[in-house]
Amino acid sequence: MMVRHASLWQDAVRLLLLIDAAAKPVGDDSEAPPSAVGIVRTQVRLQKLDFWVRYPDYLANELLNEYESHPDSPGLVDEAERILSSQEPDLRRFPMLRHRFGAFEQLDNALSVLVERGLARKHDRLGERRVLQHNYYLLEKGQRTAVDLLREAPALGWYGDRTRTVVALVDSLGGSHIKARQYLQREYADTPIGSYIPAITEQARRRLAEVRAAVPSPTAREELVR
Amino acid sequence: MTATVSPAAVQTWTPPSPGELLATAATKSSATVADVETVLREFGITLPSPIPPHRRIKVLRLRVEGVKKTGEQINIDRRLDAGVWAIMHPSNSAGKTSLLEFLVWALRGRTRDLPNHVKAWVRRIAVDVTVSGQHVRVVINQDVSSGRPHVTAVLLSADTEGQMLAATDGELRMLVSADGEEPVEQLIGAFMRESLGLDSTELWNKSGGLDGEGAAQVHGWPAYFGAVYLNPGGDKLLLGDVPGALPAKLLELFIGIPYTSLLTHLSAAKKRHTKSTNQAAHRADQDRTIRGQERAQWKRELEGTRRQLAAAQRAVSPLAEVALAAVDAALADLRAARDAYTAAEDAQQAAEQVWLLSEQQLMDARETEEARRVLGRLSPTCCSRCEMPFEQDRYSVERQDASCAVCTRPLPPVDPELTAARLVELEEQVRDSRETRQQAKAHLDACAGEAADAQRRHEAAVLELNNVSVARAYQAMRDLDLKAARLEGQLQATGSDDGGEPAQPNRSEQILLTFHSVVEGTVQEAAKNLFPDLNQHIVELARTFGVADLDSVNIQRNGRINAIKDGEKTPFDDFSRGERLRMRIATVIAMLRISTRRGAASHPGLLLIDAVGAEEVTTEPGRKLIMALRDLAEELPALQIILTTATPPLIDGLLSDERIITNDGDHMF
Repeated sequence: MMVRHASLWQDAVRLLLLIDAAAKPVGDDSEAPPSAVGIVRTQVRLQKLDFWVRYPDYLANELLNEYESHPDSPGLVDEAERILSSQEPDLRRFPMLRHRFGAFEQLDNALSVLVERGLARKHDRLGERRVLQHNYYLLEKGQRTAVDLLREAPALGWYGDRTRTVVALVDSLGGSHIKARQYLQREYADTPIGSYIPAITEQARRRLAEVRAAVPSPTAREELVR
Repeated sequence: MTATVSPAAVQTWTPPSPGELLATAATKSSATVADVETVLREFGITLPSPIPPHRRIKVLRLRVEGVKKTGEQINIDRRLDAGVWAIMHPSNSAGKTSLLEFLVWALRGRTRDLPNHVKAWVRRIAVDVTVSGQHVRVVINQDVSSGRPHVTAVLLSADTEGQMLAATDGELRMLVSADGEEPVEQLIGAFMRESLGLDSTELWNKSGGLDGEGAAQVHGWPAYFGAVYLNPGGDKLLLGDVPGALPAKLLELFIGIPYTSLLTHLSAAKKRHTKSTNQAAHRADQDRTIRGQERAQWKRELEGTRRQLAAAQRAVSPLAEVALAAVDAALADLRAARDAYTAAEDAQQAAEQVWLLSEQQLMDARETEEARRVLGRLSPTCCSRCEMPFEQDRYSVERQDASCAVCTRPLPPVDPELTAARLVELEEQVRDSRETRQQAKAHLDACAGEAADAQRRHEAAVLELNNVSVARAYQAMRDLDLKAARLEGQLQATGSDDGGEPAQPNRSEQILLTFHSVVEGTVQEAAKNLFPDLNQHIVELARTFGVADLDSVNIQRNGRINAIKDGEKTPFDDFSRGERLRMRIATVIAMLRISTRRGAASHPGLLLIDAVGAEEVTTEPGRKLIMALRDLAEELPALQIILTTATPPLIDGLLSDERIITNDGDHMF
C-alpha cells in the first residue's frame, strides 16, 4: 500500500501554523533575529506536536488519557469523540516513521520554504552537556502570513484549529515528557524503528465507548444542567 | 345272670391323668407344659377328669294334668322307681306312646313324637326325678287360654326323695324357671347336661356355618337323650336320632371312655383351625393367582416396552438423518452467506480505500493549491540555506527569464485553469468513490443480514436436529426405559411366579395338633382296652335277648358294630327290626354294666323303649327279652326301664301288676 506523503506546500503550511501556535515570546533572547516574534524550543517538541497533528487517532487517545487525569474536564472526551466519530483519523493521517526516540520526519525542506520567504528562522546552539539544540523562530511576516492563510485559504482552516488544540494539550509539557506519553501507546512502542507508526483508530473508538459509558454525552450533560 | 367276662380284665387299663397328657404333648412338641396349657386356653379347651362322672336318672313320679278336646279331664299320677316298667294297652293309638312322651317332654325338654292334638291337651306335667343325686321336680305348664299354647317350666328342688314326693310345688325350692317353648327346652337340657356331667358335643359339619365351609355343630342334651330313648326297631341307627358320628360318640361317652369329650372339642378346634387355614390358604391361592396374572401382564408389558425401545432406537437414526441433512443444507447456506459477506467486506474495504484515497487526493490538492496560492505569492527573500537576502538582480532575472530566483531553474508554468480542472476531476473521483463506498457498504450490510439469516437458519436446523434426536426420540426412549425399569422392579419385588411357599402352621397350631394326637391316642388306647369287653357283653346280652346266631360283634369308634351272624358278616341294616332293637338294648345295658363295674356308671341307667314286641311275629322272643331285662334290673340297681307294648302276653306273669301301667278303657287316659 502506498504511503501517503504530504506535498511540500502542505508541510510548509502545517509547520508554519504549528510554530505560530506553539511559539513563546522571544523575550531577551540575544540570538533571536530582529523580526522574531516568538520561539519554539527544541526540535523534539516540534516533532511531537507534529505527530499529534498527523495522527488524529493518537490525539483523541491522548485526550482520553488527559481526561482520566483530569476528570473535571469532560470537554476532553467531547473533543475526542468529535475526532473519532468522523473520517478524520483516516483522512488527515500523514504517516511518520518510528525513529529511535519516537516519531520523526526531516522538516528541513518544509522549513526552507518558510525561511526563504522570511516567515521563520531556525537557529542551532550548543545546549547543556554540549548537545545541539534546535530553536525555531517565528518572524513577524510569518505571523501575519498565518493570519492571512486562515482568512484566505479555507481548506487550511483545519490546521489552524488542530495546531492550537495540540499545543493547548501539551502546553505545559516538555518534549521528553511528550515522547514518554507517546510511548505509552503500545502500538507506537511496539512499532519497529524505521517503520511507519500504525493507526489506532479502532482501539481509540472502543476506548471512547468505555469512557462514554461513564461520562454523559454533551447533550445529556446539558439536560442535567437544566 | 352273670357276665362271663372277668371284671379284673376291665381294670387292667387306667387312663393317663390330665397332667400326663400335658407332659406327653409338651415333650412331643418340644414345649413346656405351661406352653401347652397356654395354647389350650387360647383355643378355649379345658381339661376334664379322665374318670367319668356318676350318671343316674331315676324317674320317681309322673303326673299329667290336661283337658281333652272333648272337655274330658286328664289326670295321671304314677309312681315309678328303678326296674322294669311297662305301659301296656292292647289297642293301637290308645296313648301308650303319648304317655311315654309326656315323660320325654319333662326329661328331654321337648317331645319326641307326641301328636300335636294330644300335646294341646296338656296343661301341666310334673316329673319327680333324681338326677345324679339331685332331687328335682320338673314342672311344665301349658297355658292355652289365649288360643295359642304358651309353655313355661319351673325346676323345683328337694333334699330327699321322700320330701320331694310328699311336697306340693310351693313347698319345694324353686331352682330356675323358663318362659316359652325354646327356653324351656334349653333350661331342661342345660340342667340335665350339667347334672350328668356332659359337655355339649362338638362334631364337625363339613357344610355347616354361615359360609357353608364347615362349622362345629353342637349336640346338646337332646342328642344324648338318644342313649336313653332307644330308637324303634325300624330305625337303622344304633343309638340316637342323628346319623353320622354321633352314635359312636354316644357309645364312647356312655361306656366311659376317658377324654372322649375332650377329643371332640379338640377335633372341632382343629377343624375350625383347618378351616381358617384352608380359607387363608385359599385367599393366598387367590392372591397368588391374581399376582400371577399381574406378573404375566407386567411381563407382557415389559416385552412390549422392550420391543418399542428397540424400535425407537432404530427409528432415531432416520429421523436424525433428515434433520442432519437440513443442518448440512443450512450450513452450506451459511457458508455461502459468510463467503459473500467476506467478499463484500473486501469490496467494501477496497471501496473505502479508494474513497479515502480520493478524498485525500482532493484534500491534498486543495490544501496544496491554497498553500501555494498564499505562500507562493511570497517572493523568496533569502536563501533557505544560508538565510542571507537575495540580490535584487535575481528578482529582475526571474521576472525577465522566468527562471527561479533561488535555484535559477526555469519556473514551472502554473495554469490556474488547469489547477481548477484538476480539482474538478478530483472532486468527481471523490463523488464516484463515495458512491462506490456507499454501495459497497450497502452490499456489505445486505451480506451481513443474509449471513445473520443463514446463521439463524443454521441454528434452527441444529435445534431441530436436537429436537429430533434428543427431545423427541430420546425422550420417548427415556420414557420407555423408565417404564421398563419400573416393570422390572415390580417383577423383582413380587418374587417368583409360583408365589412362594404356603404359610407354615405357627407354634400354637403345632402344639394344638400335637395335643390332639396325644388325646386321640389315649382315646384309641382306651377304646382298644374297653371295646373287646363291650363286644363280649353285647354278644352275650343279645343272645340272651333272643338275637339268634350272633357269633360276634366288633364295635368300632366309628359306631359300626361289625357283627358276624352264623359265620357271616352281617350289617346292622340286615338285622331284623326286632333284632335291631334288641341289639340296642344289649349295647346300652352292656355300657351300663361295664361302666358300673369300673366304678362309675357312665350311662344314666334310664331306658325308654317304645313298642316292644311290635315287630315280633311271636311273643316268645319278646317275653325272653322282658325276662332278661327283669333279671338285669336285679343285677343293676341303677337300671330303670320304661317300655310300652301292645302285647299283654309279652309281660304277662313277668312283671308285677304295679309295674304295669294300663287302663281298662279304650284309652290310656
